[in-house]
Amino acid sequence: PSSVAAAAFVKVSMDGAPYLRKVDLKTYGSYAELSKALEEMFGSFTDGGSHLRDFMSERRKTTDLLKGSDYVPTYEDKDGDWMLVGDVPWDMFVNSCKRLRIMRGSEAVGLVSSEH
Amino acid sequence: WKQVPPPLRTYTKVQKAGSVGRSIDATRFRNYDELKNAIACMFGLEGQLDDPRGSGWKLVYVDYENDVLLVGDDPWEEFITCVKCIRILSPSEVQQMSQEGLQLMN
Repeated sequence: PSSVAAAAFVKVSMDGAPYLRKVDLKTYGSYAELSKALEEMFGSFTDGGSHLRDFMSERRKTTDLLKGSDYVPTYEDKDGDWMLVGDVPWDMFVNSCKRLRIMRGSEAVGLVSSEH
Repeated sequence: WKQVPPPLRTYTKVQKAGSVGRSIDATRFRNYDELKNAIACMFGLEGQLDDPRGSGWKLVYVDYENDVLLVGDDPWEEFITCVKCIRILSPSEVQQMSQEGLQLMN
């Protein structure tokens, strides 16, 4: 209530999970905090359970992630484009994120392979 | 992305596999606790919906964009304007749905 920033609720879907969740991005201060929250929300739906751990801070290893069966966080921005989470500074992300999707790495390959 | 404007308030269906459906006016309740208690009483699930982490029962809803979401994440005022229908998922339904989801991916 004391916060001056308006809430920023966005839907979060995860491939394979039975339902979506909603999070208020304004309650998190960094990608790491968001990552931890999403792990708690969706960890029980992953095959092994720990595939979501710190998946955002491991962003540098994206190409490796995509080769395995791990999950990749993506978001729909203001322009309606689906982008990889983690490239822009946190504040910019909060202001432009309209929806989150935790995608299976195997599905996301096409998104990233064009970078190389 | 397009947003379908919610219609004027009508009753919201509450459904559970194997049980007769019910209809409630969600605006009658002041918060999630009241809603969950009322639904739990209707379906004989007292005490099992207000502790979602422990019991394994999940209360989900379909919104006006046809997404299935967990009840309780939105601020209450937002929830009542976007809920289209409510569904009670048993622990085995939750498990079955996530397995089917994973199979679709593989």
